[in-house]
Order: sequence, then structure tokens, then C-alpha cells
Amino acid sequence: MRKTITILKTSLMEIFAEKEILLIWSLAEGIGLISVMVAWLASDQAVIGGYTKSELVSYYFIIYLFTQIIGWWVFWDVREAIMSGKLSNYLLKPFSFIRYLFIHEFSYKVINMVTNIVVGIIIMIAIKDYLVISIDPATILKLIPAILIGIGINFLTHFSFACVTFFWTESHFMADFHWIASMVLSGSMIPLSLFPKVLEKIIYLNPFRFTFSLPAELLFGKITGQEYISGLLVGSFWVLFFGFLSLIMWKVGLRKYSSFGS
Amino acid sequence: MLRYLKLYRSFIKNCLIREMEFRLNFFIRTIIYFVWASLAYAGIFIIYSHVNTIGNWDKEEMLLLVTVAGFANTIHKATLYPNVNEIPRYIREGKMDFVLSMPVDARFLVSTRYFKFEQIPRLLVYLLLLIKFTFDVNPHTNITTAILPLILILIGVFGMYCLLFTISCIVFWKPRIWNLFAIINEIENLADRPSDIFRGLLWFVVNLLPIAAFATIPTKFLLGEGNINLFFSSVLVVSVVFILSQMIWKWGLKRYESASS
Repeated sequence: MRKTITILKTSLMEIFAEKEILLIWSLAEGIGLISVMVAWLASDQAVIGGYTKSELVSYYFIIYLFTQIIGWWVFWDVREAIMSGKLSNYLLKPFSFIRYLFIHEFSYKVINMVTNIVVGIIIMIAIKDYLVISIDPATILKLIPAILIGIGINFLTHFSFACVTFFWTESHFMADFHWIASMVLSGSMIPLSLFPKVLEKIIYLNPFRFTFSLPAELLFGKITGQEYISGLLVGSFWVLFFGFLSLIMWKVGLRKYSSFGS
Repeated sequence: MLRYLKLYRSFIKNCLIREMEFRLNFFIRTIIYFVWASLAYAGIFIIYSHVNTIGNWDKEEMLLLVTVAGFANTIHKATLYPNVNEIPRYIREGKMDFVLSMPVDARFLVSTRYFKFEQIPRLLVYLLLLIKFTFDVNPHTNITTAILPLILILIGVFGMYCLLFTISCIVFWKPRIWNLFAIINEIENLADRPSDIFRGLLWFVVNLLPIAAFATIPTKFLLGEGNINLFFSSVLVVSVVFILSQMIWKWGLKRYESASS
């Protein structure tokens, strides 16, 4: 526990020193968010893919919030550690690299929350006439496991994709592939209900749906209780799958890993 | 002038040699660009299967707008953007010393040093799509009517470069900020949407910064909806942003302190 607290303190201080950088990330996301909302509001249909215009605006706002909470993206940290040889330092320390990574990312989320609250409030004021979110305690309880599954899938897919660096130094392309897949299949770009019916099965079973779309669908009452339970089960399967994949990639990768002079 | 052209030619040659050293990198990056571009079109097809228009723009017009934005974006990403993206690093790492000591204009040097050949395949595909979608919406287009929109695209690209150059100059005051490209990318993405769907304050932002000039105004000309006012508004906005960027650059340079010494 003492080790965890020490890592947490150090990480919080490190990340706090980069508060201006966090603000830039939040601002950039805010600009993107507003432009998407404006485009949907300018459409000629009142209901689109089962969402009213107000619901669509609220949907993107919720996705923005979920991105801040669920978006545990560790690809670049893992890649940098392997590429630069700094991983050797972590391997010699009395705690695992994955534990460090998890706590570091948690600290990032905590500090980032402050900048996101500022940007989030500005956006909320701008879209106050369209916000239609009603949250009851039962929904909040249901959201917790969905959010934890989302964090698990994001963290583990990023980790396993980054472990490709052990075998291929040009692995930064894996981040692009992850980003593209996540954008399209998680409901960040377009709500999944807008996709053609022929793709329904692939869209609803893909791992990225359980990062942002499932909690959003739950919040907007777009899924039944049974669909929620099956969503949690399939999401948990993906967490286990990517956990297992990460473990294998990490173990095989470490055998191949070598660093010099660090 | 001739000296600068010769210098630019040697920069391009140097970049070509560098990129050919990493052919696999070049190949994979090209694929990723195509995937990104396809996503924009897939998004339009999905959205327009549920709506008829977005701010009076139907599917064919929107396809043309996204193609113009993609074409302009690719020119920008091949020529000026990779250079603007490097400015924060020059300042943070003290490499600006080297730039300032060269016997050429410093802004020219930091804006032209890199050329991305990996954008060429994407540029060619966008050009073909541009021709296709233009004829879909305006079959009477000919070389003469297409020249003005092409000039406007180049003006828009230059305007976007000036805007991003100005934003990059923030690093003179805040050298620790390394992720300004995130804002820059989002501003560029705004150009994918028709500028006339924005209202109130956002309308001013999109029209007074050269975001409308980047894609919406050239597209209106391709649709046959352009007029002299639109043309001059584009030129005026870009000129103002250029003057502003030059002033901020000079101001920033006065403030610059080498990080290396």
C-alpha cells in the first residue's frame, strides 16, 4: 500500500506540472465536440437513428465526459518505455510496471478532471437548451460496472497493442489502428444505432462498443435490462480476452527485450 | 527569389531521399491516410441514410465539400503543416538559434524545411474524387470555371497555414506546451463542415479565421454559387491573418531566449 501511495504522489506531482498541456487537450476536444453538435443540429430530421436532436447533442456531451473517465490510453507510455530502454528501470523496481502504469494513468485522470470540468462547464452553458440527461440512483449503480469494463478494455487493448513494440519498432501505426477502430466502433464518431442493420451483429459484439457506447446507451435508456446484462457479460469476456493477450504479449516480449546503457 | 526557389528545391530533394530510406513506413502511413479518408466518406453515407440535408447541403454537395477539404488538407499536410508542427520543438530545444543564424528569412526556413511525399498518393486520389464529385453536382464545369476554385483552395491553404503558424507562436511565451497540434487539427477538422451551419459567435470564428476560406468558399464556387464578394472576403481574411501572424512571429522572436545556451 505504501508503494502505491508513493507512486500516486509522484505521479500526481509530475502530471500537475503539465496542467497547461492537459488544458490544451481538453480545449481541442471541446472544439471537436462543438462542431459535431452544430452539424447534427443543422440536419433536417427531428429523429435520427432513434435519437432526437437534443438527445444527439446530449449523447456527444456524455461521450466527451466518458472519454475523460473511461479513456485510459497508455499506448504511448508503454511504447516510450520499451523504445527508450527506460523499461529496464521499472523492471528493477520493487513493483510491477503494469501497477505503475495503472496508478500513473489514474493520477492523470484525477488532474485532468480539473481542466475537463472547466471546459465541460463552458460546453454545458453553450448547449444548455439541448441537454436532456436524467440520471437516477439505479442508473448510476448500473453505470459503475459498465464504466469499469470500459476502462479495462481501453487499458488492456492499448497495453497489448503497445507490446507490439517489443517485436516491431514502427509500432506507432498500431496506435493509429487502435484510434481508428475505437473512433468508429465505440460510438464516439456516430451512435452505433445509425449504422446499417446488416452490420448490427458485428457492431454490437465488437470490444470497443463496451468502452463508450454501452454506458451511453444505458444512460439514454436505449437498452433493456436483459441487453444490459448481456452487454456486461460480453464486455467482461473482452476484458478477460485482452487481459490474457496482454499477459502473453508482455511475457513473450520481455524475453525478446534488451536495452543498452540505460 | 531565385535563391529561395533553389533552396526549396534542395529541401524537397533531401526529404525525398529521407522518405525513401523508410519505404515500409511510407507504405503503411499511406494506407492509414486512405483509411482515415474513407472514414469521412463512410460517415457521410451513414449520416445521409438518416437525413436529407445538413444546413441546406445535400449528400452530393457534402461529398464535394469533404473532398475539397480533404484536397486542401492534403496540400497543407504535404507542404506547410509538417513545418509549422516543428516550430514548438525549434523553440523548446533551442534549435531556433541555428535558424536565426542562417542567411535566409527565418520564417521561410521554418515554414519550408520539410515536405511530406507520403501525401502524394492521397493527393492524387483526392484530385480524381474532386473531378468526379464536381461533375456530379455541376456537369457544366470546365477548365476556366475550375481555375478560380483551385486558386481559392491555395489561398485557403495559405490562410490555414498562417492561422496555425500564429497558434504555434504561443510557444514563445509558453515553451512547455508541446501539444498545440491537437488544437490545430481540430481547427482544420472544422473546415470539413459547411461554414454556414454555424450561428452567432461560432459563425464569426469560422468566417473571420480562414476556416470557411479553406473549403466552404472554394466548394461554393465549384457548385456555381460563388460571387465576387465571397472571393474578396476570402482574400481579405487570409491577408489579415498573414499580417497578424507576421506581427506575432516578430514579437515572439524578440522574446525568444535560447534553451540550449
